[in-house]
Amino acid sequence: MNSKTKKSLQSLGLVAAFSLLGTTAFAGVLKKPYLIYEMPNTTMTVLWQDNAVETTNTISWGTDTSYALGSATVPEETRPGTVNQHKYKITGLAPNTRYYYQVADSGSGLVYGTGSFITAPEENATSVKFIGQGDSRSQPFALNNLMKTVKAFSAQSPDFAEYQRLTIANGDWVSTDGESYWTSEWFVPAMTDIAAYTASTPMDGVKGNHDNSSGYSTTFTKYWPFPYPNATLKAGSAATYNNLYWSMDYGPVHVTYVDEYSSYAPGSAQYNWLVSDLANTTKPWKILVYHEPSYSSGKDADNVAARALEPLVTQYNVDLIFAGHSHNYARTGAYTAAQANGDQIALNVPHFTSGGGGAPIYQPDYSNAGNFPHVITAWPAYQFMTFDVNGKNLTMNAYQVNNVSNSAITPLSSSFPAADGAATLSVSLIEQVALHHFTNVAAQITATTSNFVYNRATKLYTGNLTLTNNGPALSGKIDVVLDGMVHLQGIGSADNEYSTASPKVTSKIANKPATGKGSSDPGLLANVTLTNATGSNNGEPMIQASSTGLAKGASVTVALSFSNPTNIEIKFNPVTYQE
Amino acid sequence: MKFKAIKLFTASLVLLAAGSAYATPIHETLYTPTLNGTAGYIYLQNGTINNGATVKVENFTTDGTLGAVDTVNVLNLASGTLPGTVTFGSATKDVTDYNQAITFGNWINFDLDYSAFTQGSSTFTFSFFSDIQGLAPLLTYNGAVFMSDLNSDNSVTSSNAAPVPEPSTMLLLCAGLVGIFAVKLRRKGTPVEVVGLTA
Repeated sequence: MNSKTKKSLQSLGLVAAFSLLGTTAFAGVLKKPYLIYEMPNTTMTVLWQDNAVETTNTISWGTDTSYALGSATVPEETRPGTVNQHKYKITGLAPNTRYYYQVADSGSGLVYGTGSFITAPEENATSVKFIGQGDSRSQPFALNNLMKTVKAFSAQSPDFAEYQRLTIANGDWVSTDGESYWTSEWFVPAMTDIAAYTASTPMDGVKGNHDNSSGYSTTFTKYWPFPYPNATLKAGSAATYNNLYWSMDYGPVHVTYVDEYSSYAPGSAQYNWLVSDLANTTKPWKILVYHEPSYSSGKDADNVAARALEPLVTQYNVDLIFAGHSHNYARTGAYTAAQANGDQIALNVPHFTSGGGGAPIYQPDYSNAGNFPHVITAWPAYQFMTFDVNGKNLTMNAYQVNNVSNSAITPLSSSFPAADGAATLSVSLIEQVALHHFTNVAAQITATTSNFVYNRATKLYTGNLTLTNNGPALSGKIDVVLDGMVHLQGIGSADNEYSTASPKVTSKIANKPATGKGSSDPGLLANVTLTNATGSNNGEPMIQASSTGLAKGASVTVALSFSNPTNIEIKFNPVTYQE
Repeated sequence: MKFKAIKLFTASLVLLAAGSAYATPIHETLYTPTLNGTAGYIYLQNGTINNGATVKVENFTTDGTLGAVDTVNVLNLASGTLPGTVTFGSATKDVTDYNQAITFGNWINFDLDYSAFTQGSSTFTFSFFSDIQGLAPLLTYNGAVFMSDLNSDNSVTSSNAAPVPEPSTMLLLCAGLVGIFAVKLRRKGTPVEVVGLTA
């Protein structure tokens, strides 16, 4: 046998060996490439883990799959505890642009993984879309099915593709802060949809109690090394940290992540940082993210200590709180002091629980009479949320993922996102909530109602709302929010397949919505619909009164139409806004 | 000066001319000569927003004939029976209503008495229908012949669907003045018919 033949045979053998590896595991890679966004908007960070054999890898990127824009040789990280881990921050990118990347072994050229991402928006962008999820732990098949669904959701259209650009996560990524849990619950070779999702969508977030060990984290910090400004090593350790709080800007949005397992009491380093962070951001939209909700629908206990942050939420005009911990969807809040009933809660701020990201589902407590006050809406479901910022408007949708199995990878519905009648993955709306940065001009408006009549033929209650401007002229669109009512049109049709109550829950609306335990306030009116609403604000119906402003001293009358099946007394406080 | 013979909602015009100050009771006459002899229903309703008032219909008289009170095609039946006092208002329900058969005559008189007013607004409506379910209105497009709003500032604004006579405003004023004089002479429950002067 000549040397040439020998070499050919040797090459064939090597190829065969690698091929064999490729069919049983990710040849050369233990954890396929995934993304985090660390800022600025001209960068994207790619992480992966080799198999301890091929230690030097190459990353290439470009605006198409020729990856011709740039490449780099990436050695293993030198951070203590990051054995076999690689991390590379691609720089010099353009904001708001789609890029493609590939990670390969430098020696053999074996491709470990590919992906594409959309860079963060321009700093002065006024619109952006992204996803929110939480509590992905413990059930890898469920997590895989959810990520498969969200990926397909984002692929519906170019407009929906915007959601791919970022996911914010509120904690409990795996069930314990340990290597084996990341391997068995997140970086699972068979869970190809998890890998596909995280290869193309950066995930930024905060730790949960399951990612925490006595106030510290080791493997969470290893795999999700967000730009923590004050991460602190545990005494005597090389890779265990606390103070894992941080914040980020994303177009018009500022997201602040609070580490609930490091002190955030007034006077603590984290509290002082939080005050400075919220005070100094110039972004119009502010989201506060932490794991354990200050107010939820259960079943895990609310974090009463987190309620100490509510005054900061009010003081610094935080728009919403995004938390998890309880494995379901819930929106809690209070609109008036009477509803707050002495509880420390920022008024008119929606507190979201988005904990249906893969962990076993919890059933909500709708009573507002026990340990979980101020529930407005809730739903047991595997779910995710979408955030859609457009100038002064933020629209949030909570979606239920239907037919999520925790024992097998489930196919998508043939009519996705709609259901096809089979046990396939589809999406249905739990609730839509809109927030607006309109100007409250109620102080200069006199609002009166009149001509309120029930029509037995149409079964509608109609009347007039007259607004008189007692102050300076108002220009543009004038809207009136009927404060005190639930915007029923925002409630979706997601079914109760995940309800284990007997009988199953049928309504997403809590008893005496928004009230505290023992409150005499009746809560939001929950069975009256403003049928001619033109929008909503923070879960309450809204109607446009004028599109051409309102002069000083002038009046405008807008017709109101209600559906009121139980003839309950209609009560609301009309609050006027200028867009 | 020639005046046509006209039939007026005289009492209500005087009240309207006097302005919209809240005063109880409010005296109203609904004139129904075009429905004289017709069988139908009178539907009374009080709707409230933000804890509206309790309303009483008192001193009801008519030259028509009242029939049976309907307890089915109502949302929340008012208490009492015409021609006695009927009270509208509820601490928990939005609309209180009352539906009764009638063979119309030429007029209907009643007093509207707002009491127990707290806040918000109330709208009292007096409607005519030809059917018990309220699907076939009489006289107006929706059957509402009289509507009275008690506003949160204690003011009352009322409207009456009585057809406005053809004579000029001056004739109307003259007729009103004559009407005032006639009312003073009228016995309780008797309508006033104003006959104009002819040249």
